[in-house]
Formats: sequence, structure tokens, C-alpha cells
Amino acid sequence: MKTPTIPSFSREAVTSLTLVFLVACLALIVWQLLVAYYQFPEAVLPTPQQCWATTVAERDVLFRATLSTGAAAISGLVVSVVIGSSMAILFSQSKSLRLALFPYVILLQTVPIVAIAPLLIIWSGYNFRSVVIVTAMICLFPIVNSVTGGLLATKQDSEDLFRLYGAGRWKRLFRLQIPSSISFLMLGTKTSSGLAVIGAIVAEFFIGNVTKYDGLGTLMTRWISQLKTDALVSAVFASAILGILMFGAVQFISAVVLRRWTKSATAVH
Amino acid sequence: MAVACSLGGKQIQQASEFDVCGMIRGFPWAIVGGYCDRSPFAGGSSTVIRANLFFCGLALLVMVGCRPSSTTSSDPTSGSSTSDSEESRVAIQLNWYPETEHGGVFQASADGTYQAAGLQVDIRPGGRAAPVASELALDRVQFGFANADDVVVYRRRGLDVVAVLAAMQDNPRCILVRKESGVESLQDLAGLTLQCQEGRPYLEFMRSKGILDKVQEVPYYGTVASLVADPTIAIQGYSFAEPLLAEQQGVEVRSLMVSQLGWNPYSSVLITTGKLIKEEPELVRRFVRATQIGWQNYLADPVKGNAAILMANDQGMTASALKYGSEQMRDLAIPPGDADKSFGSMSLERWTELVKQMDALDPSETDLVNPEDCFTDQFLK
Repeated sequence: MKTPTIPSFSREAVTSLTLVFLVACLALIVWQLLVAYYQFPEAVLPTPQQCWATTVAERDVLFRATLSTGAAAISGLVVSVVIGSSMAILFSQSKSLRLALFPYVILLQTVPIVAIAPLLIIWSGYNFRSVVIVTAMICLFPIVNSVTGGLLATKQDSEDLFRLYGAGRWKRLFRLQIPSSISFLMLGTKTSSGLAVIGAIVAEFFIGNVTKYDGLGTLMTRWISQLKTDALVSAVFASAILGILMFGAVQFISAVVLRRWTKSATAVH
Repeated sequence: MAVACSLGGKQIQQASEFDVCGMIRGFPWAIVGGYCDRSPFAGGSSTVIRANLFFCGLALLVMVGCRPSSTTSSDPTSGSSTSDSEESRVAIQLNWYPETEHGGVFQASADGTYQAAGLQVDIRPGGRAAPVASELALDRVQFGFANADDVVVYRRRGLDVVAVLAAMQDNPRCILVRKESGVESLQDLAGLTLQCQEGRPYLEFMRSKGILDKVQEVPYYGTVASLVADPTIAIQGYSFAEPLLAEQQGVEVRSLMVSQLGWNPYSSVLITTGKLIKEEPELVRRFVRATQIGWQNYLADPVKGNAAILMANDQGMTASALKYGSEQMRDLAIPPGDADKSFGSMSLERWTELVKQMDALDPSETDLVNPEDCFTDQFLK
């Protein structure tokens, strides 16, 4: 049976969309006015219309590039989820392991990837693997960090219950710690979903995209060199949209597929 | 930034002590202007202690990180205080890290030619994505370095950029391969991985000849390291720089000149804007003449210019590579038979040929550029 009133969820969605749309309009107006007022040459800052026209003209190239970069970003994100979660489980099982290795995980986060990339090419070569490694390195830290936190942040009552029933280390891990850390995993993955796109593009700056089509990073390099600023802006928007899509996909998985474990978390975040 | 880049007199020495800022400057995409010299935190006096501590910490970081150890911290306005009202200040944006291909301006700056012409010149190093065109378009610099093909690209995008001096008559662009790769000509490149700057017209030209059909093209990040590490790699280069840098690291290389394919735009071209030519032709004339003299002095005896380049380059340049480069480039700058021509002059025929070649490469961009608008010889002696 359907109720005549709009459910609160979709009402919220409509409000949210309207607000987002308003901000976009405002930004476009400010952008247009800036160009009109300062009379920037097209090569410095093109108008929104010029960028849109270029986006339409280059749509095939942009679409393939977005797919290409997206493939690298998703692969990197998946690899980092697998490796990151495994590391977090190890860290949750042994305090000394955690103390010994966690600083190195932080190191991974702080070493600039642009410095690592050339080394990585020497060791791993110009291939898709290198692109995925760079992406995974950038994505890894938020995942390790939040999953480790999640595995260790079990409720005291549940801990007591498990102890009371004499549950062993494995039972505690699989029945208590992992289920309660899933919402943390999804939170870390959401943070990393945007980073994955950045990672893939940075990797393309250095390694190139080794799939069949040029990725967004390669397109950006080319268009910078050719001073096609309007096309460059459209590539930037394409990468932003890719980031939003990835974030949305993770959000969807979190809210629908893993609903059982993330219900409480999605209500909060 | 200004400290490291303005190479007048004693300031050269400070450039070598410059550490963190040097790294920022070398970073490909950093367009950092003067941040380290004018720290807003340096004299912070807030009443809130915590905020104060924070700002002191920041100020300390900024100072430790960016200041040369001694002199400039006592003289925060080192750039502007010395500006003489008689002297005109101009800035020039390089299109790459400082190398021999910019020798003329470093020479003129180091041996006092610019000073004698009443010019105070701020030389701004470039890198992988040096913003030469936009810096010119936004009047942040008055002059820039480019290749002739860049001038065509800029003019296609509607920027009124004009070449006023071409230091290298013959293009030094080459593809570098390891000797043991067995590759002897550009036609044999198939199967190699080529590190190159995506989007450069010379690549389009090579593609149009079918030379890159079976070559994996990957980004070039400004060093010969990969070539040294892996014999299946080829890199783009300038014939008077990278071959020696590679050989100094112990590998034998062969340089294959792209000009042999018929691609020979002027190189190390001094560019400015049509606006500046119209508004301040005398300034342009002074700068172009001084730079012309700088180049001639550099080609005769590059010692001072090379010392200045070495100070300004933090990308692993060596004194011997500069010496080799400045000797090797003489024939490119003054090809045999050109000795009686005015140094740096350009011809309409060659500009017309270049525009025609580039129009053929990209049919969607034909007839946007008139070769006559691309250059002027009027300021040369």
C-alpha cells in the first residue's frame, strides 16, 4: 500500500539535490563573471560554455579515458581493501606486531608517491601492475587505520559475553571483531575511493596508462602541453565525476549489500 | 623564490644553500611565487598563547626550511630594496630546468651584460609543465623560452606570442637509445619503450611517419635514470645534454636526431608578447640585444654562464655536462654557412614550412596561424 505523502528519505534527497544544483549554478555564474571581468585569455581560463563545448566534442575520448582510469582506480582500491584488511586483522591479533609495524604503515602514507613512482617503474616496469601498486599505496592507509581501529573497538559488553562463554581467539575474531569492524572498513574505503582516482591519475602522469586507451592522466598531460585549457577543465571534471561515482558505489555497497553490519554506522555518518 | 632565481652578483651564492624551496621549485607542477620570502607568520604577535606558539612553530618551520642560513633573514626585502629606479625589471620564464639551452640569458646575467643595458633580470626556472604561455599571458613575465613549434601552438590558442630571437637554428631534439639495443636509426625503434612528453608536436610528426607504431610511449620525467637502468628504454633528449649525462653514468648511448626526418623548428627561441612589443618596444629591444650579446659571449666562452646554470639547476646537472653541452651546441646555434648572418635571426620560409607541417598533422587546426605573425627580426642587431 502506498502512502500519499513523500517518504522522508526521498524528500531529503530532493532537498539535497536542489541545494547541490544551486551551488553548481552559483559556481558557474561566478566563473562566467570572473572570465568576463578579468578578460582572461581562453588559454588561461575559458568560459563554462567553451568547456562544455569541448567536453561534447571530446566526449568519446573522455569517456574511454574515464573507463581506463576507473579500471585502474577500482583495481587499486580492491587490492588495498584486501591487503589493508588482512594487515588490520594481523594488527588486531598481536599488540607487538601492531607496535612494530604500524609506524611503517604511516610511513607509506607520508612518503610522497611522486618520489616513489620513478623507483617503482625501475622495479616493476611500465605496466598496469605499477599503476595499481601506486593506487593501492595511496589507498592503503585509511583502510588499515580504520579497520584496525574497528577491530579493536568492540563493545565491552560483547567482550564480556564472549569471555563468559569461553570463546576462543578465532571465534572472537570471526563472530565479534570482524562483523563489528565492517562499518569501519566501509568508512575507510569511502575515504580511499576518492584517493584511488587521485592515485590512478598520478600513476598515469608517471607510468602512463598501459591499457588500450589513454587514461585521464595522460590526456591531462597532453592537453597541458597543447595549452588546451578548456579540454583540461573537462578532464578535471571527468575525474571528479569518476571520484563521485566510486564514492557512490562504495556508499551503495555499504548501505545495501552490507546493510546488516553497517546499519548503525550509516545512520550516524 | 626570488632569491634563488635572480642571479645578480652575490645572490648566486645563496641559490646553492637553498634547500626546501629548491625542492618545491623543482617539483614539476609547483607554481610557487615568493611564498617563502614573505612569511605572514614571521612577526606574529597574538595574545593567545597557544595560537602564538603555533604561529611561532610555523614561522620557525618556514624560516628553517626556506631561508638561506645567514644573510637574507636580516634583509627580508632583498629583492625590491635593491631595485634601482634607473633599472628596468624584467622576468623571463624558462621552458625547462636551467640548462645550456638557456645559456645566453645566464651568461648575460652573470657577466653583467643585462646590468650594462639597464636591466634587472629575474630568471625563473621551468620544468616538466613550465607555464611559459600562461605566465606571459598574465603579464607575470615579460619574456619566455620556447621552441618554434610552441609559438605556433600558443598562437593557435589565441595568445599573441611573438618570437624575437632564435638561439638555435637547428633543432637539438633527439631520441636517445642504448648502444646495445642495436637500434641505429629512428626507423628501428619498434619494440622499445619511449619516454617522451605527451602532446609535443615532434611526437605527432614522428607518429605521422609511422615511426612510433610499435613503440610504447610513456611519460618522461626529466632524467636519464631509466635509460641507464634498462636497455629497452629510449628517451627524448637534446643532443647536447642527455647523451653525456647518460654516458657519465656508465652506459653507451646513440642519439638519433629527429631533424633528420625533416622536423627542424628553431629552438631556444626567445618569445615575448605582441602587446609588449607595441607598448614598450625599447624595453624589448634592450633585452633582445643584451640577450643576443649574452648568447654570443656564451658560445665564445661559456664559463660564467655555465657556473650560473649550475647554481640554478638542482636536477643533477654537472659542470662537465654543461661544458660539453655548450661546446656541442655551437654548430646548432651557428650552423656552418650561417656565420655571417645576424645571431638569432629567423626566416619567413622556415616559419612557413613549420606552420605547414603542423597544419598537416592536425587538420582540425589548419589556417589558424599566419607565419608572418609568429616572429620578428626587428630587435636584432
